[in-house]
Amino acid sequence: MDLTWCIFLPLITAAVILFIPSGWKGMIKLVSVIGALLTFVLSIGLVRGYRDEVNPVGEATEELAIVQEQILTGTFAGQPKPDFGLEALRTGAQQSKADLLAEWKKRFLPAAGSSQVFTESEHAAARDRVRALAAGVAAKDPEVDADALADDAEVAWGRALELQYALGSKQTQHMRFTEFTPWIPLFNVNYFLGVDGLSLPLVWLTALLTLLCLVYSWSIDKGTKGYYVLFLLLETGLIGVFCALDFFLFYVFWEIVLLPMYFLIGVWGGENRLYAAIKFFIYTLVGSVLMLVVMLIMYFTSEPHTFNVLTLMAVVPEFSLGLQWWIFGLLFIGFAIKVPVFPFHTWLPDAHVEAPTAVSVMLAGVLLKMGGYGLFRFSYPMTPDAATSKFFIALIACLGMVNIVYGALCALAQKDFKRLVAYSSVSHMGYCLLGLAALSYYGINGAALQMFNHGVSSAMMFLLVGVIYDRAHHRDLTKFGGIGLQMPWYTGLATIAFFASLGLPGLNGFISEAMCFLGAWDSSTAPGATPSLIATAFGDGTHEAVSVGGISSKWIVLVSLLGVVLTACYILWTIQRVYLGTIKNEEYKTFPDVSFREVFALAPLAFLCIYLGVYPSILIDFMDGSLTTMTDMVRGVLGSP
Amino acid sequence: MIFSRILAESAASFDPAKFETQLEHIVESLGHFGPEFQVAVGALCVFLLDLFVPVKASRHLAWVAILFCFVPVLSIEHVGESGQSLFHGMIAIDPFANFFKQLFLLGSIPVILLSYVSKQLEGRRMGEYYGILLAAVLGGMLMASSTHFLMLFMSLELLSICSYVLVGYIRRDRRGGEAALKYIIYGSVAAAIMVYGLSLLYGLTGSAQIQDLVNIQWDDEHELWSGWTLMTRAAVTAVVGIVMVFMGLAYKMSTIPMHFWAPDVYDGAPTPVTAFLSVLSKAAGFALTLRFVSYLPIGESIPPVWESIPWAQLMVVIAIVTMTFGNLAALWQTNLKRMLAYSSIAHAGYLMMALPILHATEVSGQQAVGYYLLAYMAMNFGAFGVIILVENKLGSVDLATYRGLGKRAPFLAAAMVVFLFSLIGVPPTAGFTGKFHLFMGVLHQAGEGGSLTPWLYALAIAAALNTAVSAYYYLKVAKEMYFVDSEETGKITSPALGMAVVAAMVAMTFFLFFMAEPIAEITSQLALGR
Repeated sequence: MDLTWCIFLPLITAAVILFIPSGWKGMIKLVSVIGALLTFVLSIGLVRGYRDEVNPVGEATEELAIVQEQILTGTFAGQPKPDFGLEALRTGAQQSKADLLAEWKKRFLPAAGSSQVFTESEHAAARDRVRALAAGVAAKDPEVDADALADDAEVAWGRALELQYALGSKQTQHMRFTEFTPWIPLFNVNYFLGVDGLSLPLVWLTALLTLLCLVYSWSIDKGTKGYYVLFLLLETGLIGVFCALDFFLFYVFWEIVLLPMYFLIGVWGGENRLYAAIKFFIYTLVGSVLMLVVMLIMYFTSEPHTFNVLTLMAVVPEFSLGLQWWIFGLLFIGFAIKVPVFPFHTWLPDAHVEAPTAVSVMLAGVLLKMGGYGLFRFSYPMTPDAATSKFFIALIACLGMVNIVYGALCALAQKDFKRLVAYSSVSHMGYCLLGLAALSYYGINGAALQMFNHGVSSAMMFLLVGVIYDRAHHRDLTKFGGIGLQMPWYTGLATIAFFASLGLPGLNGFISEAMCFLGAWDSSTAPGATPSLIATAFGDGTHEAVSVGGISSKWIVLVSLLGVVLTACYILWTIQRVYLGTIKNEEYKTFPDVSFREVFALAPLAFLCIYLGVYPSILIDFMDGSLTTMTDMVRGVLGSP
Repeated sequence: MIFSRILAESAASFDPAKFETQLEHIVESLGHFGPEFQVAVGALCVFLLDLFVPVKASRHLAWVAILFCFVPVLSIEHVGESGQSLFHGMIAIDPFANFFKQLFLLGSIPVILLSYVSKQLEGRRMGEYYGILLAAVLGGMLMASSTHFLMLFMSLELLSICSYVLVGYIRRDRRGGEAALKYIIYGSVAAAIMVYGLSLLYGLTGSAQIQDLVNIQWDDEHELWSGWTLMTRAAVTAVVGIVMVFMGLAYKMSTIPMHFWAPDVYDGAPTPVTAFLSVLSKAAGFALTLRFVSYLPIGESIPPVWESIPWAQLMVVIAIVTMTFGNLAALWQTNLKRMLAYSSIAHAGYLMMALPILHATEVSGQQAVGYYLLAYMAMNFGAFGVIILVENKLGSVDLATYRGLGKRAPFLAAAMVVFLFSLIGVPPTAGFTGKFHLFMGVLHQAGEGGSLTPWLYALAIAAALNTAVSAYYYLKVAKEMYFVDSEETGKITSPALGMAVVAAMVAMTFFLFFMAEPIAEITSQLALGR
C-alpha cells in the first residue's frame, strides 16, 4: 500500500482543502504543505525500504506453479478459485524453480521449444486443452456450469500465461512495492504499481520538489485554494506516472498531469498565459493520443491481450520488425514532445516563461522527465529491435546533438532570463538522448543520472529567476547588474546552480554529462564492454570502417561537446550580466536578500547539487541494477559482436 | 361496388384458423409491448391533464412525465441474445433494443428536469410540451427495435415530427420558428429520399424485413446487353437504395452529407430541446443505423458489382470527414450552442467509427456505440445543463458571457470543466472510456489484417488527431471561465434542482470511467447477430 499512499496522499490533502473556506489562506497553505511533507516522508521510506526489502524469492514462481498445476489437473473446480492477485508479480524469476517451469511446459505444451514465448498456435492449443479440462470437470459434477467453468479456466489460463511472461521479463527482478488489483477485467486493465531503481529516484524528486514549491509559493495570494488543490493534483499525477506498471493506468496518470498544469499556467501565469497554456495542452495531447493508439496496438497484438508493462516487455520484442518500428516511432513522438526533442520543443519556452515560478520548477524538474522516463520504461525495453536499428540510433543521436547545440545557441540569444533557463533545459535534455542512443552502460546510466541532475539544477535555476523577478518585476537580462553586491547570499546560491548546470567538476551536472559523452564515444571491443551503438549506426564501430556519407560517429560527440562550450558561454555571460559589475538601477539597492522561505526552497537543492557532485555513486549504485538489466535486455537482440 | 367486391373476395378467402393464430400472435405480442404502451399512455395522460390544469401550474406536469419515463423502465423484460419478434416481424425485442429503450427513457428524465428549470420555457402551457416529448421518446424506442421498413419509417417520422414541434415550441420566437422550418424542410427531403430507397430495396427482396436484406437475389446471369446482366442491375439498384436509406439515417445522426440542418436548428431551438436533439435523437438514429447496417449483405456471396463497392472504406471516409468538419467548424464559434452543435457533428463522426467494425469479435461496433452514447449523454446533458442555468441568469449563450464564471459560479464552472474534458476525451472521465471503446474496436479489427487494415489505422490516427483539434475549442470555454476576469463579479445562484441535475451528470461522468466494468459488461451484450 506504500505506493498507493504516496500517490493518493496529495489527492486526499487536496480533497481536504476543498472543504476549507477560501478565506482561510494560512490554513490552506499549512494543510497542503503538511500533505506534501507526509508524501515526502513516505517517499523517503520507499527509498530506504527499496534496498532493505527482502526479495520474497520464489513466491511468484510457486504461485505460478500452483495455478498451472490446478489448470492442468482441473482441481480448482471444487476449491475456492485461486486468487490471481498476483502478489507474486512483485518478485523475480527464481533460478532454482526454473526446472519446475520447464517441467510444466513440457507436460503442458509438448510442442513448445525452449522459447519463452508461445506461438499463436501453441497458445490456441493450450487454451483448447484448458477448456476441455474444464468441461471434463463439469461432466463429473452436474452442478457445475460447464461454460462458466470453461470461461473461468480460460481467464485463469490467461493470467497464468501473463504471469509467466511477466516473470520472463528480467526487469521484473528489480520491481518492489508492487500492488495489483483488477480494475476492468473485461479489458484486462489492472491497477498495477511498482517501482524500480529508475522510477524511485524520480518519485522522490517529485515529492521533494512539490514540497519545496508549495513552501516557495507561500506568497501566492490570488485564488490560493485553487492553486494549492491543483498543485497537489499535479503531484498525484506525476507520482502515478512513475509508479504505474499498467499501460492503461500510466496513460490515465499521464493525462491527469495535463489538467492541473493547464490551469496552473492559464490562471496564475504571465501576460501571454492563454497562448502558452493552450499550446502546452494541445502539444502534449497530440503526443498522448498517438501513445493511446500504440498502446491499443500492443494490447491487441499481444496474446493474451494485456496492458501489463512487464508482460509487454517480454512479448512485444517478439513482434514483427515492421510493427516494432511503428510502435517505436509513434511512442517516440509522444515522449519526444514531452522531453522535448528538437522539432517538438516549441511549446517549452512559452510554457516555462508564462508559468508562475513554482510551476516552471515542476515543469522543468519533473514533467520533462516523464518523456525521458517513457523512453527508458517503454520504448527501449519493448521494442529493442527498433531501438537498436541503425536508423533510430542515428536519428536519436543526431536529435540529441541538435538539442544540445541548438538549445545552447538559443539560450545564448535570449534577453529574457527565464527563457534562457528554458532553452538551457532543451540543451540539457539533449545529453539524455545522446546517452540513450549510445545504449552503453555508461550512456544509459549517464542519461538517467542527467535526468535527475537536470531536475535538481534546472529547478533551482527557475527558483532563482523567480526570486529576482519577485523583486525587480522584470526578467530582462540587459537591465540587471551588480546584484551580487546587494544580495550576496542569493548570489552564492545562484552560483552553485549555474555552475552545476554548466557542468563544473565537483557539482552534479559534470558527472552525468561526462558519462553521457563517455558512453557515446566509447567504442572499445574488449569482452564485456558495451561499445556505443552510435558508432555501429554510422558504420565505423564495426571492423569495416565505413562511415555513412563521411560522417563518423565521433563527430556527433565532438559537435555535442561544442554545446558544453556554448553552455559555459551563456552561463558565464548570464552571471556576469546579472550578478557582477556595478548596480545599474538605484531601485536595486532596496532589494532584501533571500528570505527564509526562499532559502528553504533553495538550500536543499544546492545541497543536492554539491552532494551528488562529490558522491554521485550513491545514486548511480541505486539505479545501476535496473538500468544494466534494461541495457542487457535491449542489447540482447544484437547478439554478441 | 368495388368495395363490396373486395369484401366479398376477402370473405371467400377467409381462413378462421389462420386468423386465430395471427390474432393470438398479436395478443401475445401486446404482452411484450408494455413499456411502449405505458409511454403512449403517459403522453396521452399528460395531454389530458393539461386541459384541466391552469397554465401557471402546467409546468408541474413534468413530474407526471418523469413518472411515465421511469415506470416503463421497470417493465422492460430481459430477453436472450437472439431476442423475440413481435407483431409479425414489425419490431423485435433483444438486448440491443432494450439497452436503447432504457437509454431513451432514463435519458429523457434529465431533459424533462432541465426543461422544468429553464426560464426560456417559463410561463407557457407546458403539458403539451411534455406530452410531445414523451411521444418523441416513444418514437425513439420504436426506432431502436423496428425490424420492418414500414415500422422503421413510421417511428422515424414520429420522432422527427415531435422534434419539429419541440424546436418551434416557443411561439413568436423568430429564431425558433426559422429553426423549425429549416428542420422540417430538411427532414422531409431526407425522409422522402429514404422512403424511396426503402421501396427499391423492397422491390429487390420482396420483403420489408431488415433481416431479409441478406436474401437479395443475385444469381440471375441473364445478360441484358454487353456485360449488363440482371444481376448487375439488381446490385446497382441495391446500391442506390442503400445509399438513399443511408441519407435518411445520416440526417438523424447528423453526419456528412446530411448535417447542414444541425447548427441552425440547435441554435434556434429552446436549449433543453437542443440537449434532447443532440443526444437522444442522435442515439435513436444510431440505433436504427446499426440495426440496418448490421444486416447488410457484406461479406456474403455477393456479385462483383456489389463487391467492388468499398462500403467499409466509404464509412471510414465519411467518419473521418464528419469528425474533421465538425471540429474545424466548431473552432470558430463564439456561440456556445452553435459550438456544441458542431461538436455534436464531430461526435457523430467518432460514433461512425463503429460502422466498419460492426462484426468485430473483440469490441463490436454496437458495444462501442452503446458505451459512447452513455458517456456522451452524461457529458453533453451536463454541459447543456450548465448552459441552461447560465442562460437563465444572464440570458445569453455567447462565449463572452462565461467570462469569469469560475468566480461567479464556482460549482457550475467546475462542473463545466469536467464535461469539457470529458468531451475532449481525457481521463479520468467517461468520454475517455467511450473513445477507448471505439479505438479498441477499430484497432483490433485493423490488427486482424485484411484489405481494410490501412483504412482502419488511418481512421484511428485521424480520430486521435481530431481529439487534439477539438481540445482547442473546448478549452476556449474553460479559458473564458477561469483565465479571463470579467467586470461583472456578482455571484450567480441557480435553483437547487438544476444544480442537482448537473451534479448527477458530473457523478455519472466519473462513474462511467472509474466503474467502467459493470457497464461495459452490459454493453458487451449488444452485438446484433447475423
